[in-house]
Amino acid sequence: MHILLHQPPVSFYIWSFFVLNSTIARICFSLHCDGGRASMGSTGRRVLLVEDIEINRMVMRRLLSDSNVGLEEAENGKIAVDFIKQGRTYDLIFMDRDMPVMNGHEATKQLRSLGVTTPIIALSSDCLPSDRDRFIHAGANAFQAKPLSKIELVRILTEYGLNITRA
Amino acid sequence: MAATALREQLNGLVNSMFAEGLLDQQFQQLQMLQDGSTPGFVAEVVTLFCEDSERILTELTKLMDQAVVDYSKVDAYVHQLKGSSSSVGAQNVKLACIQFRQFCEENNKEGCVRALNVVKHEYCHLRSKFETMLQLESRIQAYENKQQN
Repeated sequence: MHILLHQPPVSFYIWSFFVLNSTIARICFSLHCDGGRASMGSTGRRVLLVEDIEINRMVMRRLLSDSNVGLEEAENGKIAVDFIKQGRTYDLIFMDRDMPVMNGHEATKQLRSLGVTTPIIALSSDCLPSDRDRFIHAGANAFQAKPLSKIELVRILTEYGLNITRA
Repeated sequence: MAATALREQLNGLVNSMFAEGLLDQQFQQLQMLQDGSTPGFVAEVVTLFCEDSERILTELTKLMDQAVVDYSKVDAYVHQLKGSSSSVGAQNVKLACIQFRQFCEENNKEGCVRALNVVKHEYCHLRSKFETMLQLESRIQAYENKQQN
C-alpha cells in the first residue's frame, strides 16, 4: 500500500495512522505542515530527507520512488529535529549541510544528543576533507557528495538494509 | 513522420548542449528518471530550475548594487544556485557559481560583479536552449497524443 500525502499551507495535524504487526514495529506518523511532506512505502521503512532546495528534494523524491521506502522531507535542520521530538522515527536520514534556520552540522549534533541512533548520511556539494570531518564529528555515519546518483543511492540503501525495490 | 523528425531535432539539440558543456551527466541521470509514470519529470525540474534561478539572480543583482555588499548573503544565494544547477546538470552555470564563490570569499566586489555577469550569461544561454527543448518535447507529445486518438 502506498500513501501519498500532500500538505496544505496551513499548520495543522492531518491524521495519525497506526499499524501493529508482529514482525514490524508500530508504524505511526502525524503530519506537521511546516515544510513537511510524506509518502509511505509498503515496506514500512522510512527515510527522512533534510534539504532546503526544492529541486534537490524533487530529484531525491523521484530517485526514491522506485525504492519501496516511505519518504518524509524537512526543509531545514530545525524541522528535522522537531519531527524527532514529535516522536517520528526513521530508518535512514539524509542530511544536507547548508540550510537556513539550522544547518546540517547542528541538526546532526542535536539529533545525536536526543539519542537518535538512526544512520545519518551527510550530503554536500562541497567535498572538502574538513567538511567531511566536521559532519562525522557531529555524528553523521557517512558523507556523500551531491548530487546523488541512482547507483550511489542504491548502494547506500543496501548498506543500511533498506534496498527493497519494487518488482 | 513529423514526430520522428522532431525527435531527431530534439536529440540533436540535447547532444549539442552536452557537447558545448551546457549540460553534464547529471542531466542524463534526470532523463533516465523520466519514464511512462513520470513523463513530464525533466520538464518539471527544468521549469523549477529556471524559476528558481531567476529569483536568485534578481536577489544577487540587488545585493551587488548595494554600496556595502553583504558577501555572506551573496555567497548563500550563489551556493543555492550552485546546488540547483548541479542537480539539474547545468554544468557551465555550476562552474560559473564556483568561480563566483571564490570572489565572495575574497570579498572582491569587482570580481563578484564580473562573476555575476558570467553566471547571468551562462544561465540565459542555457535557458534559451531549455525553452527550445521543452517546446520540441511539447510538440512531440502533442503529435503522439493525436496519433493515439
